[in-house]
Amino acid sequence: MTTRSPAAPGAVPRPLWVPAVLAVLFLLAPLAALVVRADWPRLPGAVTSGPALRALWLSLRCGLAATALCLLLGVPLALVLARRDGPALRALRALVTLPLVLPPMVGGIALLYLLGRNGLLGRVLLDAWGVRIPFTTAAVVLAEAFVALPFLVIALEGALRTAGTGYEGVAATLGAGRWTVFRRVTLPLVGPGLLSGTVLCFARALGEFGATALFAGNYDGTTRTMPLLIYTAFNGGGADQDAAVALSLLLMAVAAVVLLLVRPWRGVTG
Amino acid sequence: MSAGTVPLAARIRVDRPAFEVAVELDVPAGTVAAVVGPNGAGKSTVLQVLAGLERPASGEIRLGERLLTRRSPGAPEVHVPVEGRRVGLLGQRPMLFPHLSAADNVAFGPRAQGVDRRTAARDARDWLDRLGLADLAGRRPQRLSGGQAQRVALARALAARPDLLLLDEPLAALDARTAPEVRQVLRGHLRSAGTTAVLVTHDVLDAAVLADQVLVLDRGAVVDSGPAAEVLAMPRSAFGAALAGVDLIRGTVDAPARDGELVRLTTTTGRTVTGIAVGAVAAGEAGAVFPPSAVAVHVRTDEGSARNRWPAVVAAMESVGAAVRLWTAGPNAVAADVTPAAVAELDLAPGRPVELSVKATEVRVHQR
Repeated sequence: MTTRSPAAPGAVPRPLWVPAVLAVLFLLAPLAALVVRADWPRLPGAVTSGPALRALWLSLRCGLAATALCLLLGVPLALVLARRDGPALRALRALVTLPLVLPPMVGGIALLYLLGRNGLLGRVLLDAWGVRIPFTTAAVVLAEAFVALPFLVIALEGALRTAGTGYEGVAATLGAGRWTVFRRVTLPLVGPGLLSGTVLCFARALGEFGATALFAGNYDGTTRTMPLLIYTAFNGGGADQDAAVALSLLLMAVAAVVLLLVRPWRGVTG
Repeated sequence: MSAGTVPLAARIRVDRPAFEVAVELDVPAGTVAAVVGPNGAGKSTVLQVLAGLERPASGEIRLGERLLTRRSPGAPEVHVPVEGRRVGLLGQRPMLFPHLSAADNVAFGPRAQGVDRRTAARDARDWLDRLGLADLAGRRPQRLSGGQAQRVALARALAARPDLLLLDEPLAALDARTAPEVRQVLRGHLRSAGTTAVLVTHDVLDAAVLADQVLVLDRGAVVDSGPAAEVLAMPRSAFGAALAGVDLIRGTVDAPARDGELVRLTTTTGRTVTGIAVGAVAAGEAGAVFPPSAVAVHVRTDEGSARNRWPAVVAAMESVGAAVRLWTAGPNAVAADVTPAAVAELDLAPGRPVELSVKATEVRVHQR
């Protein structure tokens, strides 16, 4: 009979290592294939071409604008969802996360029916102020924000619930009004959660394709973001597959940089 | 900014699922009232209402000239929000803001009340200095010990210059070595700053050292109150007696007595206890108080019941210092301190029938 050393607390059962390693391979092997397939000598030229630079610049601008919009709307929404309760709020919470499970294309169609030329709101905007949103850069921002907002709200709501209201009560007994409490206690306490939520939100906005394609179209310089350019290149419309691969690598690099920049922050209170 | 000290006058009623909390609290300016009582007696509810975190079913809370809460039929409802009450709170846990240094934690109150950054920072240093924490000003709360953190929390509460300070078991979470130190700091500042305060505690030492008056709360009602020395010396409630570590037997007096005279009290079970009257004792309800060390324990005999001698059954035993404290079972249960030798000699154990006696000169009888 062999004696077995007692399992250390938190030890991973040995059979689980196999699927865990498979999962890593599953996630990384396609990316590796992309790296291998790339035509490295021609890569610098492909990623610095006019269309590529325009798409990258547009992607960053729209991603940042969409993230700003999500912060502006999402932080208050997360606070309401975390701090109030009741059947209506629970229903609202489910509805708010709907875009998370919706195919983005459906989101694009929905936006079109709201803000399109014959949409519920779009017609009013056009008739009253002559404002046309679909197939403009603004449409890109709206499509990205629509898809990315739930990511921010969910991450932040969780952080707010974890932080609880104890510190806020203490701040009130020290004479701090609600706005001061929000600014000086609530927000700093959920800082790490807010940061990771913002990064998730930005990453999602950067990679958005379906809703953008339907609601904003695919116009070089105004609505053709990186994912749309990659799609266009891959389908041979004006560019080739090598360019698509190169651009994919560029997008991967941007995403990796964002994630790496945020890593150390998450460790502070995580 | 530095308001003079003000008195607290509160009369509140709160509905709880099991019972109703009804408390009247008058705390003269600059004094400390301790609220003691068993778990779930409603002590924390009282603090929540005073702090404005909970609204009473009815009542009125006045702090000096200011009306903080009013809820009574016929009068418009008043509820000053938490941040406008100038009522500070120090709880069991320090709850220092983790993202701020000790000094910034202390400066938080003044800053929130509109004091400029530099003055608030100087204020904070002053408070930390006074509490002997100057070295820790730049530290984050995670790097403070429990006692240090609680002292910073006290500095933070005081720096906000509250008119009323609520202390909710402020020493309960500290270890046995740290608690006395923080208790002394608290005592010094409550005395010197003259802050009107309400202290909730389960520790008799807190009540004895920090409080001017003591209220005993049981199931939402005040069952005993008065100057701290009096409530602890002559408790009128079972909890007050247990808290003060004395025995209390309640009953009725038939023949009135003057101060210092012998007086006899009869319990509902027909037992009689004779003791010395403290103040004049009229016919009616009274309590007999004596220390457990005055109770002698004998093997049960059938001599009939002599004066202050009655049968009992041992319910539980525990060592207290060099002595053994035993509790008897049944109504009018008392605690008695005996020597370990007596435990061996009398073969004392839970369930053992014994006879207790106490000299009349050791018993103080007071009117309820």
